[in-house]
Amino acid sequence: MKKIIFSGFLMFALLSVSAYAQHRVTGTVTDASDGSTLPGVSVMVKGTTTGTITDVDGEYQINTSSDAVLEFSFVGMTTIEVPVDGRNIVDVSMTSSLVGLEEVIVVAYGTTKRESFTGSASVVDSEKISNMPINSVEQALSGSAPGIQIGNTSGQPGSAVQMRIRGTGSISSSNEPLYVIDGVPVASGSLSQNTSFGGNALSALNPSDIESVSILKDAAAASLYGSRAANGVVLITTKSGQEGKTQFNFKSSMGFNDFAVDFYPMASREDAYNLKHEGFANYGRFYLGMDDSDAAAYADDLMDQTFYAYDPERPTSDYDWKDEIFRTGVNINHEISASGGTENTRYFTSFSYLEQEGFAVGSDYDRITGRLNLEHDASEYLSFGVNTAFTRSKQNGISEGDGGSFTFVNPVFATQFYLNPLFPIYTEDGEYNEDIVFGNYPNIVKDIPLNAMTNNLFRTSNQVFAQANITPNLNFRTTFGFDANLQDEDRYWSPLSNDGETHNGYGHKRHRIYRTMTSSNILNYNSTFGEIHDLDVLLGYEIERMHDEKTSTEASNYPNASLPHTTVAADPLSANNWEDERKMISYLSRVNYTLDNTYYLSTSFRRDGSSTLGENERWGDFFSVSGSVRMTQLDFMENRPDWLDDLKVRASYGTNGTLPSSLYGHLPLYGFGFDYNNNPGMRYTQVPNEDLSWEKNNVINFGVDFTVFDRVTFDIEYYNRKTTDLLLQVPVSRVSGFSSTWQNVGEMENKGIELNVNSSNIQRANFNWTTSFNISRNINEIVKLYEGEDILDGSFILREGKSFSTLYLREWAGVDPEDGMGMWYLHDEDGNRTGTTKERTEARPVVAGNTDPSLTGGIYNSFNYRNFDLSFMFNYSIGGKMVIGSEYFYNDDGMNWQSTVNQRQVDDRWTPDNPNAENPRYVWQNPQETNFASTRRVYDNDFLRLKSLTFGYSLPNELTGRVGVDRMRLFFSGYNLLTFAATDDFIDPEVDVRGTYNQRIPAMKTLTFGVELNF
Amino acid sequence: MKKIFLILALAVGFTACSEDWLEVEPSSSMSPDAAFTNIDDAENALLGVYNALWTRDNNATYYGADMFTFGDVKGDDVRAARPGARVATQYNYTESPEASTWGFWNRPFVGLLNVTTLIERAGQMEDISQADQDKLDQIIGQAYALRALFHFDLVRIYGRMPNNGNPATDLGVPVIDRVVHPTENVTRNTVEEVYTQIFNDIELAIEMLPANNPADGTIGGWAAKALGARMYLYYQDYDRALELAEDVINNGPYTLYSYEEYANVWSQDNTSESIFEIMFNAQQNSDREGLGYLWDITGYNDLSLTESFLEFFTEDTEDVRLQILADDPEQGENALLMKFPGKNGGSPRINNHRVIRLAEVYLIAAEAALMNNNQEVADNMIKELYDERTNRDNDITDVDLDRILEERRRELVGEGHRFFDLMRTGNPVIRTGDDQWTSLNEITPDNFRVIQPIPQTEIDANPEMEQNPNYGN
Repeated sequence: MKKIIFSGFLMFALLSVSAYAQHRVTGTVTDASDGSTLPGVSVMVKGTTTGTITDVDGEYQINTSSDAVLEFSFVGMTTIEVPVDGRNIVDVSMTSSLVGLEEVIVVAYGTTKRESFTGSASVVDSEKISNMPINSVEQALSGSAPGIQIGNTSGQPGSAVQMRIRGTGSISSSNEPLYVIDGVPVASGSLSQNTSFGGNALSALNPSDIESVSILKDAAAASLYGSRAANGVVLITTKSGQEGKTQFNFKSSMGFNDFAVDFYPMASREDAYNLKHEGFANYGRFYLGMDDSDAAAYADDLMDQTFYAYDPERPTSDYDWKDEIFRTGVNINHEISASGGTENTRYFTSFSYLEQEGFAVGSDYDRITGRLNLEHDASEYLSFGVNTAFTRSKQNGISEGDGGSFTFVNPVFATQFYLNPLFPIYTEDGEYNEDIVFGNYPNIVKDIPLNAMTNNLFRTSNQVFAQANITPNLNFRTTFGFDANLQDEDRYWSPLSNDGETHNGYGHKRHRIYRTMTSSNILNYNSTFGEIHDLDVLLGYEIERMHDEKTSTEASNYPNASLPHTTVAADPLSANNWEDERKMISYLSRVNYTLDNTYYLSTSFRRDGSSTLGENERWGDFFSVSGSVRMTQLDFMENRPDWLDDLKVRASYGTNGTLPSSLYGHLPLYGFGFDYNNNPGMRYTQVPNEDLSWEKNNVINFGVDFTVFDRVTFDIEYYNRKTTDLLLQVPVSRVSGFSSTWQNVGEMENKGIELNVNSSNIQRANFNWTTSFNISRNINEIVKLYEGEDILDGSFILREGKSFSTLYLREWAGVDPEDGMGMWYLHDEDGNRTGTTKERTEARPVVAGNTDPSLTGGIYNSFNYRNFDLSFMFNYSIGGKMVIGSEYFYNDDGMNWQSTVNQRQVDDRWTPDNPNAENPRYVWQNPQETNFASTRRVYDNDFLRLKSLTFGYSLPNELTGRVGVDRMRLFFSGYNLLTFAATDDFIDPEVDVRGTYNQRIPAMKTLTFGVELNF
Repeated sequence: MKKIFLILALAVGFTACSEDWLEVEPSSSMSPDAAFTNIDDAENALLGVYNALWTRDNNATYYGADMFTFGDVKGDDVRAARPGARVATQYNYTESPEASTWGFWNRPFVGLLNVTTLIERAGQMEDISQADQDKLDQIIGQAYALRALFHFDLVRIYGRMPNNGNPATDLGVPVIDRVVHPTENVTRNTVEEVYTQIFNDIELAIEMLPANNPADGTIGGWAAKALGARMYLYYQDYDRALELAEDVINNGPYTLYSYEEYANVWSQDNTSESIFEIMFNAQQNSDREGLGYLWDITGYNDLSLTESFLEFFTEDTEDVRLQILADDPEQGENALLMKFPGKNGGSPRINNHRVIRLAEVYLIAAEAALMNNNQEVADNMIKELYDERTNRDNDITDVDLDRILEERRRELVGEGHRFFDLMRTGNPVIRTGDDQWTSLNEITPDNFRVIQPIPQTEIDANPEMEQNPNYGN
């Protein structure tokens, strides 16, 4: 009775208080799985900015109104909403979210719950991306999802990155995926026309602005993007604001960049000197028939003639080229964002500044980005908004060369090939030593600051959209996208530099405006009827216009070394201007049907008309059908074991395509510039090809997804993508006046399996540990080539029945321990070894395996313990090969007298005392040509790399709260931190996607320290 | 709600496109229909054909150099300076189907495609005024002359000479009088059929072109007649050859270089003998692959006069033609021929290349007359030329073919004739002298190597194409 009276009194008291004060609610939050209390749970009053968090005992206390709704959220738990309903004590029990299943993922033209998705897509969320010290999102994807391969072409900051999703599907068209930002396809890859390293257009997007990345892999996921989807689609969604008070995020970090793997460590000066001497002496001994003492005298004489400027008395630093040319680069990043909103208007805005110095002097990248994502609900029926971003980036680079003289300024090439530590950097007088290889090669310590190769990108990406909610079930969304890239490039060789000298200065300015306009109009209907039937129908119409205008001026003969602009130069060399367009009209539709949350069926259809295709093939139709069944919803699985929580099987089939790279390959054309006697002339340059068509990709995908023990999910997939109608250049009778035409004749197949595991290992109040792991295997095979004929492609051969990455090289048979000469295998017609030879040209190139890895993948771990957070990712590759073309120069067995000596050459060469060496005897001129391409240059490329690691500590709230800061976090973040590889003593294992390394500046390692504030 | 429909209407209205919208054309080229609308377009297309005569394509240069060096280094008067020289393959007769001189096959067919489309398209032009029609006739006339020249070059390189075999059955090259689609497999016509086409075209050119001498590196009426004379001479139609040659000599605006000016004419444009010359300038030239750079000691220096030639050539010390010899530090005294010294004293990379000039027409007339047993005309032609070159009154009688061939050696050395002259007259190439570094010292007109192999890539692409004998078939 007393209790009742007391309660009544209390009730009265509380009610009366609530009349002019607020309703106080207290409670305890527990974990449903074990009843333990949950500290740190966020408790918010829905629709307000009022909130608190639970204390160490899982208890909370909050003042609100008696009819409020409380929202409880916690990492790893399903967010729940509980109405107060006048109660004062609201105890809550939270259940862990089934990892992944409830997750909403971004897919083509919308979002979906993972449980209802019938296609194949991998999602990488913002956590993984924004913690890495990178400048472009693709760099975060390596190892983060199965079936993804990231290729490095250049380690200069801001350079282009290669990406392959489920293998290589084209021989002559693009193999890069389609990138879509906030629903609009955008320019990716390099727009640079004048740099050998390429500028990455996607690094215009600040990775911290990204909310999530979805990688669409199979037809069900990607076919709605039609003729551009064969290489997969990368959907990038940028952050948006949430209703609530303004949340500021400020992040600032600073760090260092260096070689990820030591690049061909040098031998000591003394060893280098001795090896050069040995090379000359061996030439005398083996090729001039000298005895040892004559050979030594001969070598002494040649050393005097060549390395006459070498003085062992001078300090080593006078000869340390690497020290002058390479450095530890500085990495600086500052960014601030604000997000929030009211009931009707939400926004996210950000600004950032990044500066990355490469490890080579003269190579750096800086960038400013800004973004505003704004959305407003004008009424219940109408909302609209804009996502707008601008970027200005500047990339200073050094030519890495594609052959010819420009390769000679490439610092990694120069320091291996001719900047020998037996040549001093400066003369005794302190001037630059320009007498390198008798004055033939540049002293790049002098030249790098004089010359320029810059790449400025100004980019603005905008999407304006409006959505009409015609009825609760029917909406119409129209999006207008405008993406403009202004690329501004300079190449300049000062009259004072080696390259500029012969031209008395040379300048080449290139401007490019590359812009895309898109309009997308989507009608979406969804409805549930009969309680168990869900129907989602989408109809769309889109157009896209790409416009590309380029202007270039080139001049030489400069009056001085101060002004690089072409206007001051005396000799104009060229002035050109081009304008190109590509257009597309598309119709699309999709129908998703769900029965009782158990059976899912989806079909999609897209019709693309492209200006790049022949009249007869202008329109392409692409479709997909897919379905899935959640087995665990079926009656017969009622009695399944406890540990099996969810089981889904799915299958899809569909088509998509790749457009030809050439914009006008189908047209009959008269070309100009065939001038005579200063009068313009034209010629018939291209015959019509009415049948020029897109490359067709047919994809089958099977998947099984299941969850066990409430915390571990598995996704297993099998796919087979068969690409037909590959474009190949087919030689034609020259009698026609043409040499070749493009025909859709080739076929290629990629098939593979992928496994992805996500596990919430531990979900405790103070300790969280999640792991994800993925592994995949892809097998590539060329099925058909024109008339079955092989195509030779450098060190590779394209042959029916073999992988695209099949090597075709002379087979190295090692070193003869008797005389130190190199040997090659001889083969009969069938490719069987028949013996060895010491005459290189007697051996014929043979198929020598391929560079494809057998397995690739990544492992990600994330820990939260009280205020500490730690996450790291490893990526790995097993069974792949790497072919190092540069060893022709870098490990030349003595061919070039000036070439630098690296430690591997000293250690592994044949001498009478070291007869079982890897490398043959070191002989000047290398008459045996053992350094030419052969399987000797093919290395195993197994590696495990600590791709990224982030370690953070958040200061206690009590401290930061006093200064109005919600959270202050100190962190360390690194990229490419540790590498374990077969070749990790001299070369970076992450080369291009085909496993080749040729003179490029290798990958960079980054270490940064920073602070992050939320307020 | 109205707003919504407005937005809907705007969105669809703005973006509704017809299929024509997908027709996109490039900025640097045009469709054939758009490219051929008026007489200026025909002019552009004609200049594009002249451009095909000399521009480089896979290192093949045609009249930029190859066509001249081919006629010289395959003979006995000029040699490749050293084994690594660009012309060493020609000199050694080591062409093979796999490594053949592409340009001789490819370039004339590029030219033929373009003259043929030009003739077709220009013929279809409508509403042409009389003045324009005359201009158009001149363009088409040149196109016919060029079509004859392309066929003529192809057949003398890939086919047997008419005097040595049976032109009615010997294989020539495909005759191109229409556009051949790249996937079409055409076959070779006989030598006779090719010459029939050549004569058909050159006669049309002579008919359509006015008797003019345009000084802009293009073919005028006189050039068509002079080229025609050469073509008829090769086919041993001596009547027509003599007729055309005499017409050019007697009625044309050309005069032989005088003794005084001879040494200086080589660096000049439009000299008094020049009937058709490829014009080069700072913008359009063969640069390092041109004839001048191939000879010059500051260039590739790949060509050298032979000792045997110099021995013969320098006998008559009063011959003004000796004045354009220069010493070559590497190849020796007088080994350098200065017919391509660099235009107006400029870089040796820029020279005009004379395709035909008056002296050759005198020699054609002499040979055609001799063959027609008109000894007097033959004697007179040689005397007139030789007197001018020696600046004296020579006693010339009873000129025979050997004498004419000797005079051709002296006059036309370095201009791409010697090998063809020997072959068409049934004489072997005989190389003597220690400076001839090849072991191939006698090449008879029956040697299979005097006819070039059809490139293997052509055979691969067109199985109907028959290879020349002994080239791996």
